[in-house]
Amino acid sequence: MSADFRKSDAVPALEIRPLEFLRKQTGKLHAQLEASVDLNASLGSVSTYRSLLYRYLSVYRPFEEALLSSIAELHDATSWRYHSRVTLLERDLLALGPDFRANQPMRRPTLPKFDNPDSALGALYVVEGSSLGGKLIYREVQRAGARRPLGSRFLFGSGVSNRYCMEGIHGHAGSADLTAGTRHQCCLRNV
Amino acid sequence: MLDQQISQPELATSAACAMFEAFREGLQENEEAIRLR
Repeated sequence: MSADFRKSDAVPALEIRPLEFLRKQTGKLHAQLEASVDLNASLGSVSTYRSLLYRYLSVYRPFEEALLSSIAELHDATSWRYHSRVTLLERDLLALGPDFRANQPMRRPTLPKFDNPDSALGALYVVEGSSLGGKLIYREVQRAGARRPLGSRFLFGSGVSNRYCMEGIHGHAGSADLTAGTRHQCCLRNV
Repeated sequence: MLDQQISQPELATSAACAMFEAFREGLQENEEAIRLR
């Protein structure tokens, strides 16, 4: 269990809805993660954007490998359908052109164990929330009148919605700097 | 919705915390690794 989730901080689970419980208990980690990524810098050039995608791939590839082994049980329990982000990331990186980093090893993050449906759903809560943040940036770019930039399938979403609507799953899913969308538009239109 | 699907919120929360940490590891620590190449 994460050091940031301590029993002394816990809100009694039965007094609030599970989703609200999740949101309250992970809010601090969510904010820390957002603060740790300089989105404006990452979207500032093709090179930094490509680096961002590689870093996402370093998380999603092992995540999806681990999830695959439990997805059948998860599906039986919840009717959840997960759409691969690895495929989107690989297509985006291909669209952006070859890069020497493609064959370089990256640190494999420590993932939770998906040995029960609740653990898998907890991890998916984070993954789907991350996806929503990218879609919010996409809407900002659309408002600016831009066409879909090259290499943006992952960040801007696959266009496929989960069976269960995840809108509003994170109270602050939209707290990513939306002005980054405009910068993204600028750098990627020139690819 | 998750409210109907999650039966043990503590388990889900523990996994969510670990997943946030995994994203931090992958995004932040690999950024340094890439910069050094």
